[in-house]
Amino acid sequence: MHITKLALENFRIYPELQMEFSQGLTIIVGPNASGKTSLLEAIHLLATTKSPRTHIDRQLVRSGAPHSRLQGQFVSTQNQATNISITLPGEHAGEAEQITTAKQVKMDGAAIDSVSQMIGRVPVVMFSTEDLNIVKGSPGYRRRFLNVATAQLRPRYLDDLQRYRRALSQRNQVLKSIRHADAPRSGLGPWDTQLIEAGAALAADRQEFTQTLSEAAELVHGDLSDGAERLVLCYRGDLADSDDDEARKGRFAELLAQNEDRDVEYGYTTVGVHRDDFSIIINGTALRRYGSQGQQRTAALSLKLAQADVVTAWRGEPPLLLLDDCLSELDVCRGSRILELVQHLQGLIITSPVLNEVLAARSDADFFRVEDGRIEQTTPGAAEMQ
Amino acid sequence: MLQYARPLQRVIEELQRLPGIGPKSAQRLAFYILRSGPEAARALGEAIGSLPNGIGRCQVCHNYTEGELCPICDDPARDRTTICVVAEVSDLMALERSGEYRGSYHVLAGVLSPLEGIGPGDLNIDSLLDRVSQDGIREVILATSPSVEGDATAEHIRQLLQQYPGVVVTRIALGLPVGADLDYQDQVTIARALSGRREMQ
Repeated sequence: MHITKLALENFRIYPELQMEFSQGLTIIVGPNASGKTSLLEAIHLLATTKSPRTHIDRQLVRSGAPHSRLQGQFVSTQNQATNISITLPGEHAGEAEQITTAKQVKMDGAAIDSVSQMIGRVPVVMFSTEDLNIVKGSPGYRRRFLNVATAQLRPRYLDDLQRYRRALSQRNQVLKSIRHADAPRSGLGPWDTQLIEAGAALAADRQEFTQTLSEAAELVHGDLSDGAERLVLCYRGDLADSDDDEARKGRFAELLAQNEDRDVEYGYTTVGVHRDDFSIIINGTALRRYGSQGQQRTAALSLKLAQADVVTAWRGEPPLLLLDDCLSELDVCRGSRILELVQHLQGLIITSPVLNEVLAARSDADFFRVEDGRIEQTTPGAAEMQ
Repeated sequence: MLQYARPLQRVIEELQRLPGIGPKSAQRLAFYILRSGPEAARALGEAIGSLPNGIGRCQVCHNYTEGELCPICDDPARDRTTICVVAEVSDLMALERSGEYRGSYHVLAGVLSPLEGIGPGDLNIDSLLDRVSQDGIREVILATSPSVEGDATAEHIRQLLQQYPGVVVTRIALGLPVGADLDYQDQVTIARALSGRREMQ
């Protein structure tokens, strides 16, 4: 998958922007806060309807503008084009009469009303500096990564996730009414059934995805570390030790029954896949606690590059890979190795605050320079001089 | 700010309280009613005003009715050994339009949703159990929507009906809409239809 055209109107700092891309590597250079990440964010938004940085769409609209428009054209390896356009309402959208207050997504001219219609059509994987949180942060970051990555691969996953969350809120409400209003405990039963059904499906998908990702990440990370480090992922959670659907459902039912008293006392559900996590282990040691900053950063990148490999294997289409500022803190040798690892991709966009020697050496790439919301095509020589 | 004349403003405000009607639709409807003349306006007002007086709930199935029994429960040709359980009267109407079903109904008047304060006691479940225990019922079809709440409601009723071993409990199938191309369906519908596939006889 690669992108051929991008047009933005009132998106982040861009009043207006039109860009064309060719197949292969695109390098975007510009100082910090010049709008590099916003470009990748716009591409990610078009491909998935979601920004990787915020879930509040209003923040994406240029300050003071009534709405923002994005358009993009993506082309698959089979040479099939997909045109996507998104309109986002701004702060004051309701006041101007002709502008709707809801986000509108169109794919090839047809309105999309549910995200699940679009999932996986334009596979995209983005790495940004915030992804260090997948390695270092709380389990919530890793669950979010699992959810976003798996939903792209398995359309049903998102539906299961929404059903699980809904059943969980309903069950928690019953727990509170048992605690405060002496409601009968039999009220839990129907919600337990829904929770178990969706939870077992989520655990199965997460188990399989983590296993596949682990195998891919081991290869990538071995390469990035000169074979010195063996990276393994291990899915952890209340249902992680069960091997099939029956076992997962049985285990979940057992745990819900065992913890019912405690759940009633706390007023929320203390067991289930909403507490899932996975551990990242390098040479037998948990990376989250014992890794160095550099090691953690490389591991986060390994996970994303491995995710791209898994997308290729499962969907049969290599994703468009967006790497935001990933090379600046790596040494030359590692930087060029990363480029080797991803050079088979049809679509690859890399941003960097400076044009280092690794990037400048890529004569096959398209170079752009960004400054204060303006963008121009350039050559490595000219970009270097500025 | 300029205000509408009081009677007009009042109609706009009342219309706005209806589901699916925003300020602009309410305004358009109000102007339309005003333009269509006093006779039409009076007829509309009367029809709306007399709605609560003329209509009650069927004593058996809780469908809307003018008398004690709804036309379906009153129809001797209907199969009373089968009960189709639906959330709302609008669901009953949808099933009726199919023309396929000749049994009776039971309207729950909602689905379980603790978040909205709706528990088993707020639905017409006790009267359903009464019917099942008395009438020599053979089958109960649970036809609530396949949402989390609809599924949980069906599950709750299934558990309660276990005490009547002679009664078969079924759930309506999930699947693809008829007459539509497979390649136009969203991926979740296809995934669910696939997992609910059945052997061809």
